[in-house]
Amino acid sequence: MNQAIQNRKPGRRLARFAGLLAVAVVMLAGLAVPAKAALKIEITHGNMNPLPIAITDFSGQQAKDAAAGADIAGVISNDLDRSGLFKPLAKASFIDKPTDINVQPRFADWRIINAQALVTGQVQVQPDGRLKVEFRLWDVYGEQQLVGLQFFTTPQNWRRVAHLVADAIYQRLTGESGYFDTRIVYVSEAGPKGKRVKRLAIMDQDGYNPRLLTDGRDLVLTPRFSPNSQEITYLSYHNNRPRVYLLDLETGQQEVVGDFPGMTFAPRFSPDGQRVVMSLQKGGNADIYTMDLRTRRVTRITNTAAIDTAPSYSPDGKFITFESDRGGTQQVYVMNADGSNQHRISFGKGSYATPVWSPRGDLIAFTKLTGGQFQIGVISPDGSGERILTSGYHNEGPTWAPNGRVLMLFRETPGASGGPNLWSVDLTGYNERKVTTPTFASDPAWSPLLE
Amino acid sequence: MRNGLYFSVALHVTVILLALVTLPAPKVLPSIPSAVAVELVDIGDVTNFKKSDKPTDKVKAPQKRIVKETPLPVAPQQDQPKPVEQKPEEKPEPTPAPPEPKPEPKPKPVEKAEEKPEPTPDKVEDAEAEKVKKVEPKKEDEPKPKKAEAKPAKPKPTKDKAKKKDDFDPTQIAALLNKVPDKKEKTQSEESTQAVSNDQSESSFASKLSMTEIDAFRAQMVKCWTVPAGAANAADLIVQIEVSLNKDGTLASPPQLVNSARLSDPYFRAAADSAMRAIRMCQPYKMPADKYDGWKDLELDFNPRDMLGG
Repeated sequence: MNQAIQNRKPGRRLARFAGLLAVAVVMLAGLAVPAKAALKIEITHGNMNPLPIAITDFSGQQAKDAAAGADIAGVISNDLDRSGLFKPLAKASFIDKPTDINVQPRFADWRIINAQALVTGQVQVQPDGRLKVEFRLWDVYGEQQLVGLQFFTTPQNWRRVAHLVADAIYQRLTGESGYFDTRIVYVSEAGPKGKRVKRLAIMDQDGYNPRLLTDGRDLVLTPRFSPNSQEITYLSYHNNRPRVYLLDLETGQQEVVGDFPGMTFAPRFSPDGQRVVMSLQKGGNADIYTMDLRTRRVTRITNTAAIDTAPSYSPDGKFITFESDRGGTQQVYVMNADGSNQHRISFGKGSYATPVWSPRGDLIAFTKLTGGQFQIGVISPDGSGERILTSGYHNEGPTWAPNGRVLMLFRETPGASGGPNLWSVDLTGYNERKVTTPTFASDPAWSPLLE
Repeated sequence: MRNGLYFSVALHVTVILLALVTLPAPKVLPSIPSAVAVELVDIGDVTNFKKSDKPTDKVKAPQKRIVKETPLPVAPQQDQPKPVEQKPEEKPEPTPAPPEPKPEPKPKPVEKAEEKPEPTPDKVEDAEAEKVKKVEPKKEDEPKPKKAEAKPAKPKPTKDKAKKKDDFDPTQIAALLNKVPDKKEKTQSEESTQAVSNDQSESSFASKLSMTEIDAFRAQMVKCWTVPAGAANAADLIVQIEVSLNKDGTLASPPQLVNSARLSDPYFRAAADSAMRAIRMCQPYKMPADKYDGWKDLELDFNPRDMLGG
């Protein structure tokens, strides 16, 4: 009995202790809730609607200034609208008419029309004839200035200034660098189908200021911008033999990149602009080569019996993506810049061509032919996350905007009167826009941001 | 004996462990994808867990029912067509509406009463309900809290309510007939509000927002928050903002960015700006006024990761 009793006691104690513990735990649990003063709520869903933005006509003291101001506002508005990320509001809805950009706007008036951001600006011709353009970007709800800049330029350059303003707005509101102050080189195609005259042309990113660069005697193909934006490389048929050329946009000077026994194709600059990577064809076999532009030394990168072509460097210059039919069909491959570690990354149905590495490095764009449809898509360099952005009768030749968010491509329309036109599409695939050109146009190449 | 003791100890320990494991778990619920539909639902039905409803609340409820019946004839006067979104609970509100013109407070108490236990009069309610909806009481804030309280009470005190209802009916009817019984109703409403505050102090859980309420808040945010495109770049672009709210759902002070160290990163700055704009745009927030303690201070973590898969 004694023993039993003694044994019992610790047991009871334990039980009691456990009971107390349980009570304490419950109390603690009760206390823990009120102890957290602020309720934490995670917001994981917003909307992807275009941001409503009010862009007022830039004011000017003289009529000429004011006219320029309205033009500039129009270009900015067009740029932001085409990006698909902004919704410029109709000027007719504006209640407040800011005239002095150094006075805070009446934000309440802008909230009424649901503007989230507001752009005000003014234009003034300086005594020396230059144009002074100032602007301020306001947060209508935060009631503060987000960015304010001023530019001096020659009056003829007003479009570039407008693009620069649009870039500043775009960057401040999205976090991405802009791409509006850029140009597009493309192949202008005039004349009837089957007898097209193809000339190299250049224009602003929004389709303005088109200018022809070659006379059309020789067929030109696949122009590509140098990362320093002053040079392009392209393919031209001379005496019915395709050769790779360099063209200096400032001086208009052209030169052949090496003179190879076979045919050279698909040239593209390295990220540092010091080399050109291209494919060289002998018989039914094509391999990838690089050429150092200063020493003119040529290095062979791939060596297979298949057709390896369309090389494109990663922005860090460490890798090259290219197209090869070594597996039986055209597919996208990635290798180190020295040719080692060649491996296939595309495994979908159909054939893949002309891979282009994004300037941001995170994606590779490609043209894909499957089920009779031409598609433009993107894929991660490791081969994951393939995504088709646009699909149709014909799509080809993607080129990246310098911020890696928008692609331009060309799309051929069927029929006798059909022809190629330039289109832009952003990474969501939803915002497709036609780019207006004076003639049919193909093979676009997007420049980096201008200096 | 020993076995019994060990068994008891083991049992206690397991109970404690279970409590430890299971109690905290409910907090974590991640956001539910489609919150919008929930908006229309009366907030708080599911999660409220008050221990005991005070008799005052119950009393109010019964009044409501009674009121419904009587006011119906009056209701037609009010032509305002409101959306029928709200559930049956709201119907009781309309009943008070008939008296509306005079005393707004009346409708409030009625709302509480809304409870479903009154299935019998459903037909009448339906017919009336539409009318009632039209009558919306201007002071919506007050009624809401009452509702919340009433909800928790529903499960346990149904019997009580019924009894109380019976008691109150006569007075209510009289009031209704008078059309000008503001005083009585007002006093009732005052009582109810007091009761609410007491309840809150009693149980900290009373002010805790339910998941539906949190989702309703998120749903408001979806409309206001325009996710910046650049956010696609940064996987861990989480913007933390502290917000203090007034009881009417407006901002009590400018929102404060908690993790401001990364403002030099343009992506983060754009994301922070967008979150700030969303918070300012979205006010006033529709929140259950009776749980003000639960939402007067909020920390909002804006995380775009789910938005930018493609």
